[in-house]
Amino acid sequence: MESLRQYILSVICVALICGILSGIVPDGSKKNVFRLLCGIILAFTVLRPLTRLKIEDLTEFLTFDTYEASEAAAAGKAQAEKAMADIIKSRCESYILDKAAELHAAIQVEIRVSAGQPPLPVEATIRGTASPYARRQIESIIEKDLGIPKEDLQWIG
Amino acid sequence: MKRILPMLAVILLLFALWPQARALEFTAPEVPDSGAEQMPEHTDSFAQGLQELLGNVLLGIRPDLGEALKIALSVTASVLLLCILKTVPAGTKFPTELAGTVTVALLLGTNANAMISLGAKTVTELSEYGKLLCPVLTAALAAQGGVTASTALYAGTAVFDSVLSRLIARLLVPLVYLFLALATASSAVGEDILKKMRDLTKSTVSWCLKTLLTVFTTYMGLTGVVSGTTDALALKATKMTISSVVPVVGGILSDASEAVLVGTALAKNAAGIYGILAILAVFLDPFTRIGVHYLVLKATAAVCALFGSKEMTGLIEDFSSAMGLLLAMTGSTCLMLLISTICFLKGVG
Repeated sequence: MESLRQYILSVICVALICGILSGIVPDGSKKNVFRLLCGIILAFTVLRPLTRLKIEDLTEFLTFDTYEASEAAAAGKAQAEKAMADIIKSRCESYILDKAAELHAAIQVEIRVSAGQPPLPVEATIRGTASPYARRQIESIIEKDLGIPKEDLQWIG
Repeated sequence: MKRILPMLAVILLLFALWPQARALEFTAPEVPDSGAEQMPEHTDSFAQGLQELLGNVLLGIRPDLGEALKIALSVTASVLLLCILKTVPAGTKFPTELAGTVTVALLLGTNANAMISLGAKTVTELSEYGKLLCPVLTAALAAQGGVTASTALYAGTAVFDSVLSRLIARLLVPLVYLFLALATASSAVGEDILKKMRDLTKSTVSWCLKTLLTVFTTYMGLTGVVSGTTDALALKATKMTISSVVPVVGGILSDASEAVLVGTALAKNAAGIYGILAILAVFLDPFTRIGVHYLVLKATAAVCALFGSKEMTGLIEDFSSAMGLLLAMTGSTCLMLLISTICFLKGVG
């Protein structure tokens, strides 16, 4: 800021001095030469900062980091995938519980969904008691409707 | 028992909805302190929020209008006095013109410096807020399926915002000071070269802003089309995958996908509307204040043209032009952020 202030003051001072002096110099050929010199000095004063400019400094304007953009997008995508996985998990569990209730089986179920997209139910853990018939029906429903094979279905209790 | 059952049903319903309710959260960053006073209370509706915001801004104009009018009256009185002095036979033209220029420059200089500082500060604040808002909208758009578009929009906004804010801070604001210095000097001494340099300085600032804004708008438009198509095709492929899964699971997947998309869209729109209102809250007050000074100076120049010299009227107009350049700088920064936010809100496809 200080250098800017000095620059502007120097431009104003040089301009004022040139103006005052050109007012004093009498008309004639000397005045034309004097005005030419004043113009050159003024132009030099105004354009002097450009002589110190380095092209390498301009590349600073273009520095940016796309990593942040990828990170933000990945975070949003991960959040959506987690939300979808949570919804699918809870819906599948509710579906099994509804079917179990129809069969008068008192169970608790926990579904594990896959990590890929779309998230699919891949494993089921069932706690509680059910009659052999209800058990067979629930296993069949889980296999046919949710696509979880018997070997990935675990009964506890 | 009659009361307990409905209560249980409500509690069960709440638990049933709970996974969806806590599914996604994309919250726009809090409005900066400078815009907190103008920020509307209702940010759910854009129209209502904007109306409230404009009302708050208009109420704040009065002090600046008073100050601008005081300065305008001082300048007009000075110009009138100098015109009267010029008519005195004993006085010479040159010292009167020089005195007039110095007087007008002194009267307008302090105010111009304050407005330039205000403009520069506003640009910085807008830029900083944009850096906080962009990641939120990027995450929300990516959650909606627009991964490619969100990355491209964020990268573009970050680059152009960085270039513009640095350009304004390191080049354009100094050029405005230089413009005023050259305007004052050319008014005092009447050198043509100073007038040409003054005009060149003004053109440089305008050209830089126009070019950057044009390139930015073109980039955002092209990015939206190209990457939006990519994302739309990816979403279509996902939907086809879902439909090929077993019927019950397919139905659940479809419902879940819809719920996530709707939830994300709602969250993104809420964040986007708040963000737009926050940007306007930071921008409108300084813009209006500078705008008031710009218009008052324009009117002052018009009044002084009736009796003042061409040089002094020209100098007042130059100070008004400097205010115009500040309006362009702050306006460009705000417009860039608004365009970026709207591109994010537009979504995929």
